[in-house]
Amino acid sequence: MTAEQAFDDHHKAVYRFVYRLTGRPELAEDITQDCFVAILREPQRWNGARADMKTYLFAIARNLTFKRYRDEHINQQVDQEQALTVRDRRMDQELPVLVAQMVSQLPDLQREALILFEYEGFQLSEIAQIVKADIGVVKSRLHRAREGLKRALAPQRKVETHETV
Amino acid sequence: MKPFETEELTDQELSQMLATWTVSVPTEELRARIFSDRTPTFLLTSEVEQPWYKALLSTGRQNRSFGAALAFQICALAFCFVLAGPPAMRRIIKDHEIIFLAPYRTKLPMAAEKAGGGGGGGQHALTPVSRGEAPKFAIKPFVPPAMAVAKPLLPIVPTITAQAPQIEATNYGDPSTTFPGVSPGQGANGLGDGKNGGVGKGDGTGYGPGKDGGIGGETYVIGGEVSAPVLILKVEPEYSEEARRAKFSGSVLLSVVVDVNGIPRDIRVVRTLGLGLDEKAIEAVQRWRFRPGMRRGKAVAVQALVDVSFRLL
Repeated sequence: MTAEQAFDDHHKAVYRFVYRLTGRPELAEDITQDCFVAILREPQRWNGARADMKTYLFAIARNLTFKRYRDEHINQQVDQEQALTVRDRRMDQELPVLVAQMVSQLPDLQREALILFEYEGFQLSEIAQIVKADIGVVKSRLHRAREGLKRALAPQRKVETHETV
Repeated sequence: MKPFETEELTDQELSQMLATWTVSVPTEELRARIFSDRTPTFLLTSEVEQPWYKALLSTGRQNRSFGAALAFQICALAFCFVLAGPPAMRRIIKDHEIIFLAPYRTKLPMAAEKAGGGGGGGQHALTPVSRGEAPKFAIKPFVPPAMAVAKPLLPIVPTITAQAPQIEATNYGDPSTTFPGVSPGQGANGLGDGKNGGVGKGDGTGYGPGKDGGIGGETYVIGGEVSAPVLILKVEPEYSEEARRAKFSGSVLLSVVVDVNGIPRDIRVVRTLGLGLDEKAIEAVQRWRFRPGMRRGKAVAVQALVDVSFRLL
């Protein structure tokens, strides 16, 4: 598979993944670029027998994202501060924005598991391969993420229900 | 009663809500960044643009680690330079003694009477030898061509040997004489008062007092009325890298003539050690300075043996 083919097939998924993980479009562009540049520069590093191209690309994107997190000193405290403001303004915002904010409040590892599962449609085994963790661990993270979101977004259902009735 | 207000969402509801968050992808921008102009694209990562010193000043975990590692390595290097430098070298080379072995007899005869090189000769002229430049020594004499060449490309300089009594040039002579005139001296051959050729008073074919070849002098061996020279400036010998790697130790015995100025000359290795340590010992001893040996209140050149020990701690 050439880099161009890989780009055509997977660039949207990679960009969406990084964007949902970070909430920053410019960072998502940077990291998506870096992923495909890595494929261009060292195509031999991809071993098709170990992982398909999509899984490989997501693993690169995930590593680059967390490296950038470390470099830029982004941590959960910032997210928690954002969370407070989100709660205050909750009722004024549209559902997609609210969903995005609630997902961004999840801990990093739970968030990535949820995004990979819910949005990108990966199997648990593939997620485990991308995040380099056991399937049980991934399952647990995913469960906690979903439970957290179910509770956090429950009031929104009420609003939606009232609005629709 | 509104029990559903506090109820959690079902999986289906959650999936529906999550699906509302869509992301638009800037495909063309990405394609342009990655494929249209590859070379600058590679360089235009934010990491490359960061100035180098930012990594040291930043508080990111990885950068902190890098900074800490760099600082540690610099400190370790400085530590090595400070502690493993010359003072440590001195400690490594534990001791090197100087042994003046009085009974040791070199090939030179004892005392001053006959030590040194050979002496001159002459043509039985009654006037003392004239002052001039000492001719050069040569093992094999070359005879200048009979036909005079105005400016020879390779001029032949007159030399002296044991069998070279004929020295035509009048400006050659004994540098130590005080007679200003022109005379080959009173000896039988060569210049000066000696016999057997050569220059000076001795018997041999060399220059100076004494006998046999070479440049004569007055080198004494220690003992009797000749006092040993005293070391006043000592330079620590270095360990050669080869010997350090081989963890090699031992001692080099050097034969040294300490001249009247206290400078060691004519350094020869009597007992070799190898691995470059002989050379290191000679280098160091060359820079040593002595208070010269004394004989009857006068400084004299003295033959001595110096034992330089190399030991690793």
